[in-house]
Amino acid sequence: MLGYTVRRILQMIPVLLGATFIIYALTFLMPGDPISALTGERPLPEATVAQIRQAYHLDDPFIIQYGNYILGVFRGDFGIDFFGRPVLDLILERLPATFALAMTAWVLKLFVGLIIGVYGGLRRGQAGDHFALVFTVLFMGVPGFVIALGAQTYFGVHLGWVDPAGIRAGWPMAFILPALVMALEAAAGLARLTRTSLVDVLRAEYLRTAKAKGLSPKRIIWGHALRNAMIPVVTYLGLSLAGMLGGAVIIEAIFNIPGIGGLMVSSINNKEGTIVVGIATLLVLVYLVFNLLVDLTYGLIDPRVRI
Amino acid sequence: MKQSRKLALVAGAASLMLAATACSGSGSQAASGNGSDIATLSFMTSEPKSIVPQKDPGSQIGMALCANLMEVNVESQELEPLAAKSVSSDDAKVWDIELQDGWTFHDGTPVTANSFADAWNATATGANAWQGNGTFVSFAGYDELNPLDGSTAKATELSGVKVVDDTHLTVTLKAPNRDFPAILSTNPTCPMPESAFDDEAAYDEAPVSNGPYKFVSWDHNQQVVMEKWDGFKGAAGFSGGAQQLVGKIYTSIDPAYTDMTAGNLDMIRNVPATMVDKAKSQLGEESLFEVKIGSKQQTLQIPAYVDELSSKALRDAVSMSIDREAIATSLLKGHAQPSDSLVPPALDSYVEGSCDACTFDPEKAKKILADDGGFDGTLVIESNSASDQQLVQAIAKQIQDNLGISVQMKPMLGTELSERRNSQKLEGAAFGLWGWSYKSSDQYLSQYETGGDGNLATAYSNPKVDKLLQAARAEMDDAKSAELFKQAEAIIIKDLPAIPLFIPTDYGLQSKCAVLNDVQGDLQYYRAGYGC
Repeated sequence: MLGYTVRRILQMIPVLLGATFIIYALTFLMPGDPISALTGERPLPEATVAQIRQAYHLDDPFIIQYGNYILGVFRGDFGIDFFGRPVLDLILERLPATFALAMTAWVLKLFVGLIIGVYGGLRRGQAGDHFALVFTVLFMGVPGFVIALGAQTYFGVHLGWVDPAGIRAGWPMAFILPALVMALEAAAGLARLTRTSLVDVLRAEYLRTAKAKGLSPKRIIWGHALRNAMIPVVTYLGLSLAGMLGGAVIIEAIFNIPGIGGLMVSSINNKEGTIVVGIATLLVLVYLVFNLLVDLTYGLIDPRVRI
Repeated sequence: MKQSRKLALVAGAASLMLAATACSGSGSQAASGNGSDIATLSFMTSEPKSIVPQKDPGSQIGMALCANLMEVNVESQELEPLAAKSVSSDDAKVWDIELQDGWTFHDGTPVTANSFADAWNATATGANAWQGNGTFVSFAGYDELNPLDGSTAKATELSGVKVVDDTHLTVTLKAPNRDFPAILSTNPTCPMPESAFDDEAAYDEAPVSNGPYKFVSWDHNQQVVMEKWDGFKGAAGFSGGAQQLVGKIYTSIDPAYTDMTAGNLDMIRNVPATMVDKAKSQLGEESLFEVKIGSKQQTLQIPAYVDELSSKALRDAVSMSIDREAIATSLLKGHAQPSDSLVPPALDSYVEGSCDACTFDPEKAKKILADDGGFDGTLVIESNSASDQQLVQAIAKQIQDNLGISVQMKPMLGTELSERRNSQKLEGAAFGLWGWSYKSSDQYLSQYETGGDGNLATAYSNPKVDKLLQAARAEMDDAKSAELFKQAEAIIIKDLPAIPLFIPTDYGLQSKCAVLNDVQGDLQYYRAGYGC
């Protein structure tokens, strides 16, 4: 187990290098000049531009720039932005909000999705199952931003239960509404997956065997059916958490949550390559770590893949 | 065993939840006293890149923190000495500055001539890469601090700045400039206390300045809090009505607007035209503040290096084929005025209708173009895809329909457009927006002076114009100077290097408690009165 984990961690290094290289190259190739993005329509004097280009090594060839960057990253130095602030600080400042939002949404999704999915799977074909189907189709069908804007106006402005924008109220009040919107949208997918998976497992032969052996229905469902049905669900849950961390850009923008999604978008617009690559590297890392965690969790649920 | 594994999963999820709460906790205590008794006004801002005035010339927070040598008084709307007792010159080239006696920074240390000189030297040093650097380009000695080849500067101080004694300094400019007092009203010329240079990183996070508001806290990505400073000795017209100013940080204007409708925000500036009508019906007429003086202008810049567009008749015809009035009333819903000069009407050098070709006349336009031999190429219009697409589309359609020539729009990212403009790689006309940093004809006409501020866009160059503008800047008499600027504008407009389009109207939104104010066309949050 330990050897496997170490091997997996070592494998992350080339993946990280490759990913950062591609992202760095793409940012480099993007049209536009980062210096001119600093001041808008009124250009900086030529001499200032020359000084800034010099200070940030913008005139070096691409491969040298990338080399400098990646060497810095290994020393824990993610570079500085054009206002001299360390990129790592910028990201770390924004990470808590993104993390709080994603985690809250993920946990809400977990409860809602699993309950609906398991209920639908066990009561297949009954009224409750049909109701769950309608519910999930509704939330999958309506675009997320429509639900978000509607919820913001109704609960935030008309009822005034929560602040419609910003996180000044702190966790949980500031995060509950955006997280719920994200959760309901994502829970639909989870519920469908759980239901299908459970229905499949309930048809399996080993369950018939278990029934024939005289096990109690409770034991069959909790001990055998659900446990096996959870295998694809765990994969989905793990990777979706990683996705939620990086993919909340629209929800962050609507509810004014200062997360890394918004930082990413503005940095792309201003062509601030070091920030873009920094965030992307972090997200790739998060993805890899969650992937590893998912694989290790398999072992807990399914002894067959235990290493 | 089985049980414990299940528990482990649950415990894992729970600990993640705890981690989430722990993390978000750090940023949540700062919700500030909107409910308390002190007169608090909040305003919309994005997460500041910097709140040090020298590092972000446009910073509203920097403006509130700093008292400049000169400043526009809200009550008189005139530029008046503030931290200076006087700023004077006989020849507009060598300027004497006398400081007010006994003024201090927020921490009590005295504001001296050195507080200004040190800050100016640091800002003018190119290697520091502070954004306010360009402000000092007209000072003698600037070039030595900013070698063009990017090499290390040999000098460390502006040779044009001399400290005479604690309350006197002189500034020598490269060339005479009557606008020097106005330059002294901009963010980059703020003073800095000695302590700022001892620990620059600390100063970036908590700047100490000398203005009407002092810095209290900066909760990154959430809010910046400032408080009225008792020690401020300037007149009321240089300050505002709020005891506490809170810059609430938004990632875009939409959530800020929503927050305002929920009663959580007091002031928004730079309100887009699309939001103005929505606000009028949702928040009421009195929530809308219209800036009376138009300080901005939209033009269609025609670069001199694009050979295809070098025919003056073609530029005239294009200009005449645009029905500015129709676009202003329909698409822009009256939130803009058609422009008929290369400067906005608020400036002294404005002459009504100086642009003959700005009158809509499609028949004449067609005739002029036909007489000139027609145009069988394509008129390319490059523009910022994020901000101006609809407007440029309307303009392009008018030119195409009314003139019968083929027009191709080229929308792109703002960063790309600026790069193409500054490196002179535009392939056709470009949609441009210009505004003044301080109210002066020079701020507009320098765009058409060889090597002037903004000249890269059109690359227009005319020795006669250069000479007139130099003379206008050197002339200390207001009327005579305005006359020279008028003469220069009259020459430029005949060549039409840029086609005047619109003077957009600026709007602000205010809550019941906020009374917005602008200074010479610039809406500044800290100048707002408190009306509750």
